[in-house]
Amino acid sequence: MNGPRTPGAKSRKSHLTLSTKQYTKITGTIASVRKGRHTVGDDIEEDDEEIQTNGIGNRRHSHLAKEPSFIAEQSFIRAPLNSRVASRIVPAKKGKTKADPLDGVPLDIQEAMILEDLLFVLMGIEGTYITYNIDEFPEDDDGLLKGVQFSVTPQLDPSLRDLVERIIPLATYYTSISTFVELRSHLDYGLVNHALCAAIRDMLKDYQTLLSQLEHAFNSSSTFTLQKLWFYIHPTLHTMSLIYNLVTELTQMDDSPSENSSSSSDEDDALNEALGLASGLKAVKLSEMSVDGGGGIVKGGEVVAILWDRMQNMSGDPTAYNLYKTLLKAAGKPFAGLVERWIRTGQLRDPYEELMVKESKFINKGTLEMDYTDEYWERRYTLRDGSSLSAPSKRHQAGVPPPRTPGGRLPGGACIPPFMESWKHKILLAGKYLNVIRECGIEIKGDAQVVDEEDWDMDSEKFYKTIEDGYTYANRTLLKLLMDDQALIPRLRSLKRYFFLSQSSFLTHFMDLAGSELRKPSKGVSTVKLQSLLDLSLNSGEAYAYKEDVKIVMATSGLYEWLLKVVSVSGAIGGEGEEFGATVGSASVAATSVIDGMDALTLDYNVRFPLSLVISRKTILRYQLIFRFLLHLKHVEQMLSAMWIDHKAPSWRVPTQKHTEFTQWRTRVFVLRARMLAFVQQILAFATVEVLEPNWRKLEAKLSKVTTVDQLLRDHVDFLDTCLKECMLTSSKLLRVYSRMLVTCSTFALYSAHFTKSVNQGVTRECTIALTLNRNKRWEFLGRFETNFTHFSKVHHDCVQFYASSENVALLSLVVRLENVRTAADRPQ
Amino acid sequence: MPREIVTVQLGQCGNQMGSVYWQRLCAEHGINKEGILEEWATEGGDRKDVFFYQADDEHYIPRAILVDLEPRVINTILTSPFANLYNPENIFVSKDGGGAGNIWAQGYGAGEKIYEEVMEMVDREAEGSDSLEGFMLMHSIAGGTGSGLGSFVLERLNDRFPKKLIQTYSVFPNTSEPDVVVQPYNSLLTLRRLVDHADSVVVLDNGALARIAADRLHIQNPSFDQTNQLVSTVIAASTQTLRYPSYMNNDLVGIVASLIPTPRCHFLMTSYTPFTGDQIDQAKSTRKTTVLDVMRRLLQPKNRMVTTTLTKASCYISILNIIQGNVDPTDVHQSLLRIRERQLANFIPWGPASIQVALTRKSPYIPASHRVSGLMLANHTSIASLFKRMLDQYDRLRKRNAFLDQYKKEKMFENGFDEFDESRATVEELLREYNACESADYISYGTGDAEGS
Repeated sequence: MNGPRTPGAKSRKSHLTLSTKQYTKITGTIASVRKGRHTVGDDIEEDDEEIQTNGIGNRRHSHLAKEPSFIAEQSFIRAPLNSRVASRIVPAKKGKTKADPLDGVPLDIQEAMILEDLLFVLMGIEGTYITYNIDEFPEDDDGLLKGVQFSVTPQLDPSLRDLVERIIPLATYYTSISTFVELRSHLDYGLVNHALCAAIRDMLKDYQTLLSQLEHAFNSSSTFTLQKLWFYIHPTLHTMSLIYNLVTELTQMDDSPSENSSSSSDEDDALNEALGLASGLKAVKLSEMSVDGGGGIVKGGEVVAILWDRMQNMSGDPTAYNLYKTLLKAAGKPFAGLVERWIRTGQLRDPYEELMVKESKFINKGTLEMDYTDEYWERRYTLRDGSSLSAPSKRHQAGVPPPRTPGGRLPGGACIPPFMESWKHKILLAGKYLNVIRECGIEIKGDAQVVDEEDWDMDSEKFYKTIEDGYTYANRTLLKLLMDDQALIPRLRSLKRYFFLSQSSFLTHFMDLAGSELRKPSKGVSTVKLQSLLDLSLNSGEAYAYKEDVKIVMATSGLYEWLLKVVSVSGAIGGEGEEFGATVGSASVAATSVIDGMDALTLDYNVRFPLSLVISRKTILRYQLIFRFLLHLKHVEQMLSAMWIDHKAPSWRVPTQKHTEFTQWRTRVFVLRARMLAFVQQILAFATVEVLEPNWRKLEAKLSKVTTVDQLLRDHVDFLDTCLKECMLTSSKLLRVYSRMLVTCSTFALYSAHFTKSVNQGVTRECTIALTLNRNKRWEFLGRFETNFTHFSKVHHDCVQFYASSENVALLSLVVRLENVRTAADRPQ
Repeated sequence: MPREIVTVQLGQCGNQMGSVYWQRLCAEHGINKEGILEEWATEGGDRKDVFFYQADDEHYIPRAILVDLEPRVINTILTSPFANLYNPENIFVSKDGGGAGNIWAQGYGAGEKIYEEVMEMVDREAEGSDSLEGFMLMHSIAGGTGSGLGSFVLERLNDRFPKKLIQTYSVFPNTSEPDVVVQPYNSLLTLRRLVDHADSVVVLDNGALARIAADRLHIQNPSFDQTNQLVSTVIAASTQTLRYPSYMNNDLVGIVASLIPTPRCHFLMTSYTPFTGDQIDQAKSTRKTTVLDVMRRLLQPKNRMVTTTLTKASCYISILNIIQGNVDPTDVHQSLLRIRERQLANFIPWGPASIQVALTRKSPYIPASHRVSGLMLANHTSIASLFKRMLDQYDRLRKRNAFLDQYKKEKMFENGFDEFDESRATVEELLREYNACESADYISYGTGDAEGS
């Protein structure tokens, strides 16, 4: 009974009102029907169609254009048209107006009475014989949204009664829809709802016009029957039922509880605590609460999405399709406006959280300089659904509202209309880019541009083209800003020079100057002194670009302990930014052993916004890792070279044919030193010539062709991760063996003086007994180093070979290199 | 900047080599003959301060000391367009002007007299450096000044700067066509100092240079100047990594330490390819160059600037290839694999040895017709054959006690010729050590007991 009737084949378009022309036609027809009841012509219907569609379109436009702004006045707060519609439906008190019994009343009188009643009821007003269904009468607004149920007096003649009951649902729809309009026009529900309500209200107005026309017909024409009423009203019944269904869906979504919101906010708390963003924590909490307080109102993107879905699902029904299309167009206008302003100017004015883009105001460009995550870039503007371009499948963010239980649609602004789904990243990025440009104080062309707001049609090519254009413009502008104005490539080149030591002579000089300082324990090292020495070594000689941005920093733990910790925590370096940040903290706490200045030495690099988007803390950390890796190798190389200098002293080289054992021991020392030096130099050569340089060239080639800023960021991070991996800094097993190798080498070099002492004793050999004792000690001492080095180099070689054949093909050439410098001692017998 | 190198040029040959070498460095760094940086030399990235220092008026001045016992060559330099390049305080010409008469003993003896003045220059240069890396000595070992005075200076330098590196570029005489009759004496006496007091000796064999000029460049009778251009090309290339810094090999000790595993075997031979008209006037051949081509040609004995006799056992102790030009690092890797496959180079069995490759940029100011050029610095055991030849020549001369009168005049030889015998012993010992290097037993060289404990 309550369901809409399937409309007849004849009424193909929505019938909501009658124009004057129609009206005369109808009255004329009514008159002719009175004369002869068989002359209802099909032509009426056809005329109806044309006029009505035109009429609706025109009126809607003019009406909306003149929409007055809201005034903070009591009567207007709920809805601007409060004064014109019955705001609250109150059931008549029982017995107040006692209806005349219909028993025995003739059928035509009964029909007239019930017709009069119906005209009231269709306006939502209780009639004499058709009354509110008291039992089911809703208590509050929510109930009213479902519509008021009417019941017909049982005394009515069954023949009329059947027809009346078919009409009555229209009244229920009307009450429901008008309540919706009244409630949802409130600004809390957002601009989209507001626009939707306005569009529905227009339709209601047409409906009321129809009613008044029917009333006129009823009053003036004696042949106006219930049948006729039904005839005119049944197309409207369909339309209204469609609106009613929409309204019901929109309101029912609200009621479903959002259960998971508390857990997500917990995550949020934890995250923020970890990041130490106290202010951010508060802000997040506040925003969380406001979302909870709103109870997940259906608004913004979700409304548009629901309309879109309905339109698509009903595309077989032209009436429904057109109706929803009209509503979508109206409701989508403010939404499209938001999108458009965002992609054109990068400004987000979304007080009701309707758009899919979310701004976290507490994250500003200042935070870029201190934390290890790319807060500004990654978090300041995000999609409410939590997806990101780099990891489309992964929902990594807390603060994403849980999806609605029925249907799985995200609530409110988080819901992205299906037709925009594929565009969402472009929309997000366009605005994001523009924001960065704005932060740099550069004029954006969109600011001045005035866009014709009238033709926002989200379904059209033009809309997509606007998004595309906005995206392209923003992209190109930011890329140009980074590449040209901010000189990104020279910046990266300077990073390569300072951190990858592509022209390492400055480091050699620095290490010469700072050698004594760096031998102290790291806590006793004066950073200021080192900094001035670094400046000195950078200033002498050829001019280095951006040298003023290079700073000395002392790390709190040794490179390998730290890397091992990182690798064991996250499996591999390069995953999440937070992991890096977290491990920095934990590693510094855990580091108990004292490290000397050389091990702690690292460089830092100052970058300012907006370059810090590309050269973020996260990437600088990777640069630092590689730098320390190279620095350590260089240092060991220098120590072994210094040992070589020691070995050129006469006591090492004078020929002593008489003591062959002694000559032999000397040669063994030389060879071990040479093996170590060869090992260190091969690793260094591999890391620089076969890893850093080729990867750098690839990066430069990529950057010359890069078209989007995000691609640029990704290329840069990929480059660093590849370098880290190919430098063998991501595998704990390799790291462990490798660090043991270097420790063996540097310890050997440290004992250089000790060896020289032995040699001097051996050359002079004052006492033969002492010499024999000495001799055994000498051999034992060397033997320990030899055994150690041989053992570790074998393990290391096997390890590299294993990784080269399994997960890290780039290591193949290192295998070849190590193979080349292997000696008889290394090879299995 | 750091790690400066002071060049000491001794005698006729040393000064001639030096003067061509400095002209070449100036051209590579865009310094004009007055020592002023050309306006177009702005590409940078090079380090001029290893070999030059800047005077107050922005003149670049070579860290060079020019010493000779006769004025002819130095006068030629001082009348050449590059006269104003050098620091006049660093030029020493003996006041007698007589030279050393091709007698080692005279040159060595003169050293005692001019010691103060020369060392003052050396000290001044050393103090003018931030962190002196070492000295580069250019001389020939056949004549009188370069060999005799050179030996003296070598001893004193090593004594005074024990922790500084001393690298010499020593021109060895053409053993088949001696210019000077007492050349075997001079060479042997100098060789002893090179063994005991130099840390690294780059052997430039006059005979091989003539051969290369004839075979590679089709010049039948190369002039001094043409030979010197060959030599200066080699010296410039060997210092390329110091002057155009890259990831590695930015200091001399790093290069030398890997080339010379045991301190006595420090005689390096070189190859260079391709020699073209850019470096040598009238040179004819130019070829297309790839990394593999260059590296393969560097290994060919006919390109070596030392004439040696190869035996089956002779092998490389170490190789460093300095590849100049814009090279793709992956090409290098491929070429190394090919060379390894075909076993173009044999290495010592007892120590770590492989072809190390240093990639370096070319000077942007000198146009080159070829993409890639390369220098090989190698420590090869066949150098022993060169010493063997010298010993043989010496023995032949010594057996007859020929031409010893000139030596007797000097103080050193007043009491007999022990010095000759000691030098011979030293060279013979070196010869033995190089031969021993060819065997896997070298690390137990002397006993035969592998463990020794």
